[in-house]
Amino acid sequence: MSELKPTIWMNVTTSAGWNRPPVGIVRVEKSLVSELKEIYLENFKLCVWNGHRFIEWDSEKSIEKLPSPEEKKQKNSELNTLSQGLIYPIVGKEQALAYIAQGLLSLMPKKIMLWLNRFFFWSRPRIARWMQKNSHPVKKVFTQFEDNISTKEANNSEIFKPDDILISVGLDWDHGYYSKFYSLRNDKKLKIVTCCYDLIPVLYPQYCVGEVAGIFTSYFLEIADASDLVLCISQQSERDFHELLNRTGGARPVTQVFPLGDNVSKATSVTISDEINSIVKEDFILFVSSIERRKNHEVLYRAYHLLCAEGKRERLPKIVFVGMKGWGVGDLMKDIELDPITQGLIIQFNHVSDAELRKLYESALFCVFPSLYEGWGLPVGEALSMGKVVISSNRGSLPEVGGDLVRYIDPWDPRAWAIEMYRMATDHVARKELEEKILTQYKSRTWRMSALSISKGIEKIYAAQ
Amino acid sequence: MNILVLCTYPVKNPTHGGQLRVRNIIDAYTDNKYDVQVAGVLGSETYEPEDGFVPYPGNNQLLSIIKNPFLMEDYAIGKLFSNDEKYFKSLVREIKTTPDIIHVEQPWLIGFAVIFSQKYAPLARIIYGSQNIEWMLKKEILSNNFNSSDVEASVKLIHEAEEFAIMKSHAITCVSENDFQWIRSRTEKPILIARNGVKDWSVTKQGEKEAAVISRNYRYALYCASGHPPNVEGFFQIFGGGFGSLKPDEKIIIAGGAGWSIAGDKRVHKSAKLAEKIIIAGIVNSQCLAGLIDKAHCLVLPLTQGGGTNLKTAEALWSRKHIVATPTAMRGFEPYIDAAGVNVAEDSITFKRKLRNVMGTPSLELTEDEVIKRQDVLWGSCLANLPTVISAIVNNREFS
Repeated sequence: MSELKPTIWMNVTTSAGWNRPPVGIVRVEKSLVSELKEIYLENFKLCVWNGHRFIEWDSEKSIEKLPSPEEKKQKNSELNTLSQGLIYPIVGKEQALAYIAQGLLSLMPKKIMLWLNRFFFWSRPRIARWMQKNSHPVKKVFTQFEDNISTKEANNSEIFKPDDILISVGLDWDHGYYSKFYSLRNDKKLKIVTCCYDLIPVLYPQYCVGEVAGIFTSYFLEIADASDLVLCISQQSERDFHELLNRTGGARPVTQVFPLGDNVSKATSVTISDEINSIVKEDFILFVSSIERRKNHEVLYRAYHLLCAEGKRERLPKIVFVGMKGWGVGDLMKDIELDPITQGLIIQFNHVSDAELRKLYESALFCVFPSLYEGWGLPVGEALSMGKVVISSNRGSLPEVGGDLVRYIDPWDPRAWAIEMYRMATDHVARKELEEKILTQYKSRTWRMSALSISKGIEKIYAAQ
Repeated sequence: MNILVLCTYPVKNPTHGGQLRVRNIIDAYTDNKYDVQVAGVLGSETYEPEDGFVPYPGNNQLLSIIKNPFLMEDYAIGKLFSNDEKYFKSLVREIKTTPDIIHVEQPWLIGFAVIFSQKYAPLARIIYGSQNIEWMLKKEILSNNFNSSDVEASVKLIHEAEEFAIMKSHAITCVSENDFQWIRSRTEKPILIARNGVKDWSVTKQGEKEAAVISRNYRYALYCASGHPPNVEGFFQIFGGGFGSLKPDEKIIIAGGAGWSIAGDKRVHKSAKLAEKIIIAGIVNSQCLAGLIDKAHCLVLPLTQGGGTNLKTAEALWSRKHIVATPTAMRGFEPYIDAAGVNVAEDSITFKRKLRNVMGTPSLELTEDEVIKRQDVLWGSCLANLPTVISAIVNNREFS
């Protein structure tokens, strides 16, 4: 170890470009920053990837602006707007170049096609190298195809010194920088700590947008080679991660399961919207999750449809979905909107504040979480930490969160969900008994516990030297 | 003694396994002072013209023999040149000798050899040079491209051609014990196991230079293979489903015709990380190949199909580098399965894991004894008994 005390760097590229209330991975990153800052004090620093190298980040002082996901979306939306009225939609420059190459290839006679394909394959790294040398303005388009060039560039990250730690737990796969970790570790002697949230895009690509399985497999293989420690948010994720590495011949990095905090934020603002205030006056069942196919909102709708068809509508509380609407649920949301027998029973909120979320948890009759697969299941822990009964899917990591304090149901079985939800909504005694058990037995995980767990992992890295 | 060697590929500048085998058989004959002429038919329009060879007759002609000549060109050529008088004569015109021995490598031109012998060299003895159990290999190759009834029909034709070759020849050479057993169950004729081997090579400065341009200073595993379909199929069967065996600063270099077939195959993009890990060297000259082998950390032999023995296995063994191979690739080289630096993996997962482990170990250092033992894989050793066959046949003696 060097004489200077190592710095613990936290890569906050994800949260630095996030302007909305923190959710999911952004919340994890921000919560860990708060806690690790208190543990490591002046030895803890933040950094971001500026597109070329890591730079120190001071959220108060930094003037360098990172493109937020919204800005990226905005750019896509501008392209879409430009495309309106055009027969051929406008695409990004990178995609356009790929289309030109594909077009040329496709138009060639078969004999030349083979040679042209070889030429493209041969010329790609050479063009990239040339661009790199000559700082050509369009080099970015090519450099992302050529890993060895960008790997070398990462050595310009002068802020790090040997034996420093770099913790990176953001949406790393969305950025190019994760491919730099290997050279930072080998050339700069940096210790790299990364995170495996889940392998859903690899295991269940059908629930994801686009062909993400390959992208995520590449990401996991890369961090396996580049990390001194890979944090996993559940034993399930750890098992899935190792299984992938075993199947593909990947590296075998040290892994460690660390708990995600599930203490629901006590918000600084107490403003609650009229809509929320109105909802909490009645009984309701709460489901906190982005609305996407994998989260399986559908089974709740089907369960309610079954119950209503049996004439039980009058005794059913509302179901409140809290979360952003995502991909692949258009038909479901239309069904919910139009189905006359469940109409008005299922409602959705988006962009709720921390105060409103807490209010919803406090006021809910009980919570549900029917997801088809999870790497952890934070809302289950949050609900339990608020003393609420949870009916959850039995898949993936979910049984790890609440153990025997949770009612587990097969997420593919709407009838079973209907029976258990109806029972929990109408049997007040049973619900109260379970709430008592939760209140006395559930041990909430705090973000401080998460940070301390990471800190122990870091100690082990140094001890292993 | 005059020997006529018949085959369906040129042999002056051999690149793929079949060519190399024939080239070395010819050299073994000439080293024993036999007069050798090579003749045949070019089995593909991609082959360079060569003296003694009739050009590829073209798909239209082959369609008169078989409904779909794709991957059945060699069979159709054999039939065309034995059944069609015009084509028969065109090949006869290329033959400038009256042979005592007609060595037909692979069964395709046996029909021609039988008629030629009857007409022009009645005393000649025919040697069938078996490189594989052809019908089994063809079945695997065709199954990747055709439906089962078409495969069955084509395999039947190949099987018949192979049985015909065994029946009409006076002696047979084969490449492995496994093939020997299969042929022995069909005939009492003399059979010699003449394994596939490799020619010793030396590394030149020029070769090192050319190899360095290709390898771009990466640490790498080397896959040397022709574009023969099993070489491509094996690659994808082993390295499909995500490829994590190599570190970010390691690559797999593919030398030989397999490279472009792999690069042009969609499957290379379906296996995560595979496309970015490969460097296509294409067909390289022997100096460059020697340079690539010299700087490789290990050689991989991901073969899952095919009978016979793989020349590249002999090359890998003589390279004195680590090897990761399938049992199929080690066929005929079983004595080396437990040799130092040889790692055999039966399935894709084990193969990938072993490759990663091997890439993480120091370079292989063989003892002098181990190197001497490996001289068995050199052509000189593999074909040492071939002249015995010739004299035995000519003298009508048995040979062992």
